[in-house]
Amino acid sequence: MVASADEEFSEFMQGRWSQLVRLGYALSGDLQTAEDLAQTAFARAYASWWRVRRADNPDAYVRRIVVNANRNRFRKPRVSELLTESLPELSVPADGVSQRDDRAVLVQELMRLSPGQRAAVVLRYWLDLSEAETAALLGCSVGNVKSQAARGLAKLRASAALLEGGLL
Amino acid sequence: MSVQDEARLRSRLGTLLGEISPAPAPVGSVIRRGRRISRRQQAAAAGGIAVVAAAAVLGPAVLRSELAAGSAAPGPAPHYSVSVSPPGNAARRGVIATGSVNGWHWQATLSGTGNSVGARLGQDFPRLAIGTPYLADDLALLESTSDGASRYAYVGPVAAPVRYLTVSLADGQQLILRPQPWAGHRYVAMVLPAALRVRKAVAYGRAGMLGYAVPFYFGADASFQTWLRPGQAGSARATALIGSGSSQWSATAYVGPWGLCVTVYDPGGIGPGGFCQAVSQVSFGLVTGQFGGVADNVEVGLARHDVAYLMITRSDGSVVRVKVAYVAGYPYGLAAVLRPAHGGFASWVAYNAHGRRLGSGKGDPVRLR
Repeated sequence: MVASADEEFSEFMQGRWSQLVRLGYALSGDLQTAEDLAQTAFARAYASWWRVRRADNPDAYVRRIVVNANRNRFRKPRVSELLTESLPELSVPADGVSQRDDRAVLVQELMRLSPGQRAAVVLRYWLDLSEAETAALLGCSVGNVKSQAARGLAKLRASAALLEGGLL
Repeated sequence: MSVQDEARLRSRLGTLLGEISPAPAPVGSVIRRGRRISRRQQAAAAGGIAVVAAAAVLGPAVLRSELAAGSAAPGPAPHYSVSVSPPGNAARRGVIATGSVNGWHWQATLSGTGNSVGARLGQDFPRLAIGTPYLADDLALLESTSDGASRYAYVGPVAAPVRYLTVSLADGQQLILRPQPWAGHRYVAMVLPAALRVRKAVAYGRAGMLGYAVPFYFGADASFQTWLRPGQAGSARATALIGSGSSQWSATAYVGPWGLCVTVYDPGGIGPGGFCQAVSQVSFGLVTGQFGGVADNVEVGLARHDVAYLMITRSDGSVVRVKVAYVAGYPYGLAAVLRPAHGGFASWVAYNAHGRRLGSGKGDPVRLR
């Protein structure tokens, strides 16, 4: 890759880094993992930069890698999801205590959703993607996105922790 | 959920996630990693050309047997000196193993708990996310990561009865991995040159051998997915092309002592990929079952033994006929399909060889729950 393309990629990455890390955090519940996911997405985007830069929507490309990479974290072991009685410990970055607690509660509740529901909820209601955009990104039908998002929202709505915390 | 609830959720997600301040974007290291991926893709493409050329010269039968055997590299192998040691008494917290590859020293350090457990092996390797150990009937679950150039690292938990593992390498060297405790489990680690393959890993307990694993190789990356009992031979080696398309994508299944592994190549994707699964761990629906999932844009699923083909309707209304392939010694059929660039799959119908309808479903045929 020539220097100008490196500069172009650098600008692309700088502008999207925070948002992609936040997407990874919402999907994985762990900031360190989120940064790994974002790095993976950008590294792969760099490796195919000549194709990514020509794409209609380069943002969709890197988001899709984050979603798939998060899904694939659990794929090499024999089970794609591990059901446990207690939720895994969540790492929380240092900031204001009340916001940190709110975020921990929200992320904890997001982690209770199935990966598909979580991805649909995060993409639809945080990134504000349309149902069609979400379906394209997740590689599923619009109907599937609708049902996953609706089920995810219903679960969140039923969450006592979110209601008690006034988060919903 | 009401519109107000949705609006409130949007607002909360925006506020709480928006306040996360990640570390500065590591542009330099990402570019270096991207360059390594790019080099690897070019090397894989060159290997593919070499394989095609070999097929033209040697014929498909020879090529198939070569691939089924795990594509051993021809010619004399260079000499490698590899070692693994448990951490010394003065080692920092989290260090589970140290070692060297031709004089280059490494140290495996674990951090995190629960789902956040991960390993670092120095600046050349990205952090390896391990997550919560779930061993089922595995004796060890070794995750891998690469420095993108010449070395692969393997780190993972071992089952409670395992006292140590021996790893036999292709050049006759043998490593002994002694598990070290971390966050309620015990872990092993090793780093190997990409060109030096593992013949077999053996787990030992208090009373002797517990089992062994023969890895499958995705390029230079070993997958230890199936642990066999002492004396158990495992499945005979067999290979079958399970799907391919006009855009040059292909999916190939390899059955052997490693279980079932599928390699996927999709030139429109992000590079060669694949996945493995033990035969005993198949989750199965009425007609189709979920296998490893998606590699690049290709999805692979299982089919009951009597399914001959699937008619799959994409979200855009187009219909694709997917033939189910069978590999000698494997009890299920395998189907591979290219995921559409936009939208997904709307529905599917399964038929037997006589055209009789066996079952149907909505959505993605290879992601049944």
